[in-house]
Amino acid sequence: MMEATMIGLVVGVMVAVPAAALAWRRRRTLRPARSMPGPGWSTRLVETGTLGALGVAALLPLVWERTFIELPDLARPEVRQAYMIALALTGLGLLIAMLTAMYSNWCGGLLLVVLVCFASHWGFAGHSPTWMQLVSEPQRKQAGWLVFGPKPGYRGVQLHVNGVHLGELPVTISMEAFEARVPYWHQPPEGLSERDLLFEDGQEHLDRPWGLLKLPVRDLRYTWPPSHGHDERHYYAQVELDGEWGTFYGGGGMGGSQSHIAYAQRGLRPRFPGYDERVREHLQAAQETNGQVDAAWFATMASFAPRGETMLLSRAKEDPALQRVVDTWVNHRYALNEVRGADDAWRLLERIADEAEQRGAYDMASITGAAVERLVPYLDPERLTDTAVAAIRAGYGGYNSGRLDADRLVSLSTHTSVESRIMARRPQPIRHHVFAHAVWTMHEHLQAQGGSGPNVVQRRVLDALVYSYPHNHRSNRALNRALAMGWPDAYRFMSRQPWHRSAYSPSDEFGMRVGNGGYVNVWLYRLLCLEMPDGQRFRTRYSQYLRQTADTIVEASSGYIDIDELKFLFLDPQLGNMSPGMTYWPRFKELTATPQNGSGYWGLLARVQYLIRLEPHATVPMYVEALRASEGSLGGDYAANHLEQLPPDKERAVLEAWVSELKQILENPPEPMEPWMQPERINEEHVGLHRLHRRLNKLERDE
Amino acid sequence: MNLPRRWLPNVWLIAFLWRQQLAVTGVAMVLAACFAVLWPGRLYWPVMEEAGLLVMLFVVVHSIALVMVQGRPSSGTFAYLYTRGFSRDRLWAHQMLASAAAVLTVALAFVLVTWTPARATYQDLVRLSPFYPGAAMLERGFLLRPLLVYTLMLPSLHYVWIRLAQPMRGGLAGFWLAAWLIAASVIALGNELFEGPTLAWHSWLTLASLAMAAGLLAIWGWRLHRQVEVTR
Repeated sequence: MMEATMIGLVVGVMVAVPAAALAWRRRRTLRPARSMPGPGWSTRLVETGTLGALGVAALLPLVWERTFIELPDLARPEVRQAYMIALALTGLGLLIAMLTAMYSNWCGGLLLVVLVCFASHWGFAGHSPTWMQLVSEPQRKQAGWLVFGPKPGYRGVQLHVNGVHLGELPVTISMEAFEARVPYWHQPPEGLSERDLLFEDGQEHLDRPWGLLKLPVRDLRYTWPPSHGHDERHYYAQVELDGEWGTFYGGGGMGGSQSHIAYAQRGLRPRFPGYDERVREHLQAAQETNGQVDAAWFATMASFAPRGETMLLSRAKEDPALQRVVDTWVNHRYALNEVRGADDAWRLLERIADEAEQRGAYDMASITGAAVERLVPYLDPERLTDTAVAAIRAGYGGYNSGRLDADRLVSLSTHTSVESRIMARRPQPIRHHVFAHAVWTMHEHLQAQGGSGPNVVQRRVLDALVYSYPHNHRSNRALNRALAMGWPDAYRFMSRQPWHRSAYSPSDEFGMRVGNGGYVNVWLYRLLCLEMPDGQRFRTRYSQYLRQTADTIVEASSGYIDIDELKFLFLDPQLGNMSPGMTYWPRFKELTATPQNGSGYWGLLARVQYLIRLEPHATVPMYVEALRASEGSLGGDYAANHLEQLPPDKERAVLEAWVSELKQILENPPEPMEPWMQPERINEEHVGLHRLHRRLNKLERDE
Repeated sequence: MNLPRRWLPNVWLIAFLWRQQLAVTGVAMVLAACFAVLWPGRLYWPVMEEAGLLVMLFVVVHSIALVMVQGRPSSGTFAYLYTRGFSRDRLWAHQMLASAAAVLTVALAFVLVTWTPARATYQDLVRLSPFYPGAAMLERGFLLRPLLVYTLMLPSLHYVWIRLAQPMRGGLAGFWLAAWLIAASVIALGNELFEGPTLAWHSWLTLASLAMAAGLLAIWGWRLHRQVEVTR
């Protein structure tokens, strides 16, 4: 719509202005145009130059965007040659147009420039640009690159495909070179079948020494008509590190060409148990010396990077000795103990960011990440906040290096590892992650310090994040992050949204899908789930909306119910028997007892989960009601297994009450649920009494 | 305020041209101020939707109106002004100054509304907008893009009437160039080419090409202005 209006505006200007000019010219001239001299050469030159500059302005975005996209393919001589010919033709067209404007007919020149722009759009734009037709057919089909990556958690992992060594991961290779070097095996390796690598549903088995690669055999982007598809062949990968052959535990599973980038990717995540064992032994040595380690220990540990650092930091959370090792390592590498004030700390943060940028990678779960976390208490919160807010004001969605951009702040999760995308159109700035890590760590640091009211990150950074984010009712990552971090303005912001509007279908602007197909107003749902005093007031004041939303979710969940979708019922336990969860229980029990909403096994499971969320206010009779609503059948083990989450006394009481209930059912069998079921089949095994006895015995043994 | 006597003709000239544009400027100021107060969405470039189009449309119409008021060689006012003994260069420079002043006056009205709590208070208390007053801090850089488009557009539009008032053929060339430049500026500066925190370098090249085109037209307009025919 926006584009159409813009095009309409442009066309309107292009037509209306000359028309007005003609009218004006006709009325205002003193003498007939024919009697006047033509423009002098200087005027012609200026107007032709301006025409050329405007032509370049129109062509640049088009031609240059494609250059970025085709960059990997341009490494191939024939493709490069074709591209240069296309560029030269464009330039020649522009030159001819300008010469025409200068020496012959200015309007003709103008027309030619417009034609060159249209022709270039045809030649360069689109998924399958016309200039590729200048490349010979076999070459065209082999265009494209394979990228095996991303970097694994280990350094120096060697990739072998069909027995051919391709180099250290990540490996980038043209399809042409790949086909020349790697033989195609029509059968899987000896002693292996594809059933060993793949489940029937196409999912890969884990921990197999061979990884199955489904690779495009040729790139069809440049065929006519254009196609996003590709022919697929299966190859078999192995990974090796320091003489140890690794196993695969999943991966990207992606094979084939992407529509906008000229290469295929394949995620490989290897595991090396022997290598990990060596790291564990090395960490054990540090634990035995209570964290007192020497330079040789660090040197060995550095040789295990980055896997060693990840394992060290993971274990250091629970081991003070390893924590001391981390502190020593951070001090040794970044001289953190020499930081005297906020300025020193800021300089060090800049240094870490610059190093990350140069390295092309930053991992929060690394010694560098640990250094940033330890540096944060020394940083000036205002300065850090100012940097973040300035980045947000500068806008979202940019990928140029040099500054922190808002997308980094939004997308950073608790443990993020990033690296420059291989052969990306524009390399992602890595240093932004360092600052984003510092900002969110600062928030945690200020929260831990306590203090009244929201901290400076909550007040300023979250405000800027949400207010400047493109407003999308259903999906708003900035708001989600702000809500997770206790944004003080959340209630005011959300209560002014159209939360009371109905939303019944996907076409509703505010509709959010819950359960197996029900729709609720996304703003209403967010408000109901708000974990703040304002949220509690909202739930109390608009309890009818709360019940309607819960009804919608339960009724839409034919079969399994995800209790987390009803979390708004359990956010006010302090209200005791008046809490939303307690008051909604009779309704929930009734709805989950109907066949379409999960009667029987799934219904019982949902009711048990619901009551566990209500603890400690749920009573034993309520658990009995839950069982009774399933028409006396315990179904499988799951419902009873969930009772393990209760305190032992309560679990025993519930189990005993259920045993008693089931015995009563056996004495007075109800009408069978299914017409084919004979009354005599309703026995101890059917109702699941044996399962309860088993659990009770287990409880006794544990005690 | 004691101005040197030699400045008085300049002041008179500016005042004369300013008075010529008063109606256009007044209407534009009122429109800009009303828009700034009443527009319900955020006035923040990366997230603006239809507001961006409206603003660009306003800039185009305002620029054309300003230039049409000044550039009418067949009008009596024009003939009067061009027979007061001012050099052509001085007239041209003051016309450019008067155009810039008119644009800045309208910008000032907008700034007064958005930089003071006027807009934020109205949106917060009357419209109950979820974004205000918090989003007001983001709107301070809003005018940069429209002002850049004005800068590209005004010299090109002035070139149109100067070229038409020449005793030579091919007067339409100025129109075509201005139309193309307007379209390219609006698309480039109102579109995703210039989104994101920093510009890709080919975006800078595009901007530089547009600036070069506008610069060429401005300089040559100044030269041709010396030969403008007063037709009354």
